[in-house]
Amino acid sequence: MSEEVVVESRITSNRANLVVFSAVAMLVAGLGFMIVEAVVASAWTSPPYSYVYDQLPDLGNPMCGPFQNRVICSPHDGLMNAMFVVHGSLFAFAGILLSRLMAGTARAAMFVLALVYVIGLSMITVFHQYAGMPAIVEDLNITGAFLGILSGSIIAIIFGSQRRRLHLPPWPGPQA
Amino acid sequence: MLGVAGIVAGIVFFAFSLAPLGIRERVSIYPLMLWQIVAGLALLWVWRGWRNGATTERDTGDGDAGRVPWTLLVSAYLVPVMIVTQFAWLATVPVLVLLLCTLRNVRGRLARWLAVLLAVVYATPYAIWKLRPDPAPSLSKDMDPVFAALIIAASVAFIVAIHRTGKRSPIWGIAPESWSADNFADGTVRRGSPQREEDR
Repeated sequence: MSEEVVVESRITSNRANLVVFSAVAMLVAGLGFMIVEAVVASAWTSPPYSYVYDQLPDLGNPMCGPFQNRVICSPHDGLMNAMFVVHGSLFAFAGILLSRLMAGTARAAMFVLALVYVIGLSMITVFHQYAGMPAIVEDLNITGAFLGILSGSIIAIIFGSQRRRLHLPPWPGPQA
Repeated sequence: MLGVAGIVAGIVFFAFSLAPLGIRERVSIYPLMLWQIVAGLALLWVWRGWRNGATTERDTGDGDAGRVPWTLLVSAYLVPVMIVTQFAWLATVPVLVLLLCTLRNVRGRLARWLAVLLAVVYATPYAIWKLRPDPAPSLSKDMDPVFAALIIAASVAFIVAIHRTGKRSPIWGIAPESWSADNFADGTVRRGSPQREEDR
């Protein structure tokens, strides 16, 4: 076997490992979040959790009582908070792995945004909204949600822009 | 396309700034979660290609592009089974896989439209369940039997369509010659091909 083939094979193997770990992390992060959210929301019964009026971080709020025209009382706040952190960590892990397949600005941006994502979600689990809370707590809660959504969306954009480098399939439409 | 999902998520988030808080958050967060799942599946597709020895971007690492993907067949049969067995919420996964796999691989127009129809029919009771002020504990309990019947009918129609069309003519994407050939335009050679063996 020539040296060139060995090197090519090693590069392909390393890339394949990066891709499969990031793929599994992304799938577990997305599916896990949706499943845990549904489980925690279904356990919230007094009054039933509303997907229209109740906020997502309310599911992880350890406080119990009225707040801004709604009643917050999540029975599994610990589970939801754990999922926020696990989800953010897995997605950040995937983002950092994928950044190794990129180059230049995209690589640096992907790395930084992945860290911002997990920091934003962690802020949601630490700073909860409740009646009579200091203004700084509310600001940090909102900032965490904003950072998470914004960095996640930009990561999606970078991922799409790196389609050729990541060897992603043409999308959508038949292959022929 | 995948990146556009992120842009849409951001724009819609601000456009719905007057909507109730719960709606506002979910309109921005759910697309992101769904994007993560789709991106994960796309990366698995890439990994499968590399594992099978693909050496170029357009190479799927799969010589038999005319074969029906087993994931599509399993998903198609899983949807009605999961609706009947009261696992409607978990049926989200096979419905998504079926839709994405069909839009990507299937050329038959009827099958493609039926896949879209199935997704819409499934998404309707799902949205009603999510938006209802007093939702049932599970989607299966919340879903009107009419919707359940419609989902089953659409999935059965899809299964019949792919099988019938498959008998008449190949409905699956036929890869260009360069995809399945051992030699590529840029000079690279599929690992394990006779020519590469000769080179060694």
